[in-house]
Amino acid sequence: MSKAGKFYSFSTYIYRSNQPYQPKNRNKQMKRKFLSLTFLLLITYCFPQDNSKIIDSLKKVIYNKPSDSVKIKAYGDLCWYYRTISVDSAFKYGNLALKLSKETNNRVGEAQAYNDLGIIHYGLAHYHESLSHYRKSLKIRTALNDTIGIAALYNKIGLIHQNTFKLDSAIFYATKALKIYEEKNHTRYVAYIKTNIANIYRGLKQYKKALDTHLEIAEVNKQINDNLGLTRTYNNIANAYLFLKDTAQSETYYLKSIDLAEKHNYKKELATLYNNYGGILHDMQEYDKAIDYNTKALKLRKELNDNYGITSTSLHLAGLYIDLKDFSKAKNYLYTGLNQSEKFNINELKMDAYDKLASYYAYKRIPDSVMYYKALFKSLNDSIYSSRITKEVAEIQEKYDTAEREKEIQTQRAEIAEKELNLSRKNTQIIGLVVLTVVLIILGYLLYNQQKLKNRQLQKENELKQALAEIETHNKLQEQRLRISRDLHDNIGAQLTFIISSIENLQYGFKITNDKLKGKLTDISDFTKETIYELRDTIWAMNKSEITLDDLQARISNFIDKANVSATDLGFNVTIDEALSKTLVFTSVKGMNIYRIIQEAVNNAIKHAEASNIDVQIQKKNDSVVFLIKDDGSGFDIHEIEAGNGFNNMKKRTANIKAEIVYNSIKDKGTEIILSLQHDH
Amino acid sequence: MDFNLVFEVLIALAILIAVICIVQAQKRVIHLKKKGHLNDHDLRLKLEVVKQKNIRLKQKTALNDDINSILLPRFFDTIKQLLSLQKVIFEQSR
Repeated sequence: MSKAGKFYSFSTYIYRSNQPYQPKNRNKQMKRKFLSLTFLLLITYCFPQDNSKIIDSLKKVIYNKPSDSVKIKAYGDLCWYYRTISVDSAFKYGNLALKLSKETNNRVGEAQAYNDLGIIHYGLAHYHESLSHYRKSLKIRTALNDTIGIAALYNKIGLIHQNTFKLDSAIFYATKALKIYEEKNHTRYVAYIKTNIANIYRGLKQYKKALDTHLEIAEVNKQINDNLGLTRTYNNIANAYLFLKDTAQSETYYLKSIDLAEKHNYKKELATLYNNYGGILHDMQEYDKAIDYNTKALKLRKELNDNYGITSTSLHLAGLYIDLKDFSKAKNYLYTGLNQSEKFNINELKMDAYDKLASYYAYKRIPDSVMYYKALFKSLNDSIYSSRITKEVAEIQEKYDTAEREKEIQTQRAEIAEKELNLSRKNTQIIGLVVLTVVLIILGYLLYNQQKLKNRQLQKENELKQALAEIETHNKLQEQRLRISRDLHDNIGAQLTFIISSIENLQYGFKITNDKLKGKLTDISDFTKETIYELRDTIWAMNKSEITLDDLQARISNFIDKANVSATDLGFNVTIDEALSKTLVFTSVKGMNIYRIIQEAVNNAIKHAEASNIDVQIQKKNDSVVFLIKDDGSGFDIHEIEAGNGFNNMKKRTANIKAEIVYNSIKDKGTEIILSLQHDH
Repeated sequence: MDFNLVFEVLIALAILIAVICIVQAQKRVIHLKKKGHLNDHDLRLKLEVVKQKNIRLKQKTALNDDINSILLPRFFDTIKQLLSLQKVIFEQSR
């Protein structure tokens, strides 16, 4: 029997990586249930072998009708713990967890349920179904960004590939899982994954590398006090030594591992170790002991429902019986192994079965069958190794293609960079154009504004000029009229002066004795003189742009002086209130009208009332200037005198200057005329 | 010759020229405003002076009208009185 035909079971790591759940319901009952379940989980990790007790506790939790999330968790745990007791029950609870998770849209629970179902399928060597469930779980966990869950799934997918001898894929997934655990600093899981990777090295016949890795892992297991991990690692070290043909070391490690497994009752590991140690004993030709260990392994594996293990151990036993020439027993185990390996498509074991069958038929001297199974062995071996060669060629091709692609990528990158540069230039140009447009718009707006301002100024200027021209024209017209009037006044004045002069010449040149004639001459002379005075008064006013109180007082005094010529015993007094400002001025028209009113009043007092005292007072009362002309003459009856020409003139002039006039007169007591004028500031 | 470079230089030049034009236009607007203000002020002063003159002329016209209403009737009255004197002298001489 060749050594290549022997198959040793290596310990590989498969674990649940179940998610801690967070109950949302915070009522006391739920808290109690949650705590009880957490306690159960703790027990689970502390005493993994006592599964039936845990299952009972989990069922009690479900019986208490907990929340959906707790129920999903409990179903999942039941599925996990049933997997070594009853696969059907495990499937039942796994499916219940999946159904409830889907119904309640519990994505975490759904991923866990797919994961658990995948593990059960894996245990039954249903690799296709297992892979399908793992992929579904992976999709959900990727969406949930559950990195630890993803790493666990990568490990399990890697194991499936390892078991179906797709070692490249196996190492690919294991490396992915390892990377995540190293990033998260999970020492225990890093050790698990490294174990699996070492097993892959072994599959690739790199035994030294595999041994070094296992020895390194053993130290880690000891450091973290991981007995189960250490048991498995010792088994793996033993296997590696075996492949390196160091049987003594291999036996030592097998025995160390068996001791640990028996001490902690690790059934699965014990099955593997019995199987492997049986293999060594077989090599050492200790057939009875080898059969004994392999039979123990087969029993345990059947108990654990480990199809892969059953197949492997069956083929070991077949090999042993062939060597012992017990062909009937050998045949039974051979065909059991063959059928199982074909049923579960385990290529590694299939090859072992073909090899052993060829040996069996060789012993039986049936060359056709020997040829047949040798051909099958060769074909399978070739297909496995040729696919590897094809893959390596493909890898080289891929590398070449990658170099080409990289070159192409570089070219494309250069093109993209150039395009980006062009784009950036275009953007700059667009920005420049936009800025130019904005600047031009501003310029246009400014020019428009400038033109508008110019037009507005011109219009304003024209309006002012027009108004100026109109007023100037008007002024010129008035000046012309005034010139004509002045000429007329000058002519009339000259003629009146001539008349006065002629009459005075007559009066003094000829001795006129006729009283009537003399009287007439005197009347004409006085009348003409009065006219001349009035003309002079007006010319005086016309030559002044404004008349002050002083001007008015001087003019009135001048008039009284002339009046005194005819009434020498007349007492005349002008008083100006000190409160009145010396700067008080009237327009020439207003001043002239005031003067005429006072003149009329004084004239009336002298001529009609024959007054001996006339008092003119100019006072300030509130906002008014009051002119009071008081005499001690004969007075008059206001109703009789009203129709007179003098009073009418006074009234008319008062109205012209918007003033008020009041006459107070008592017969033989005198007259008082009050002219009130609003004081313009 | 890089067309893009020429184009960019042209745009930059155009922006520069436009900015200079904006500055010039703004300067001109300020100058116009100042000049307009001065002109306006000048014209308003002139207008004020002319209006003052107009007021004075109106006053003179009013006084002129006033004296005309007195002077002319009195002048004719004087002539009438002279004619009456002439009549008396004739009657006396006869």
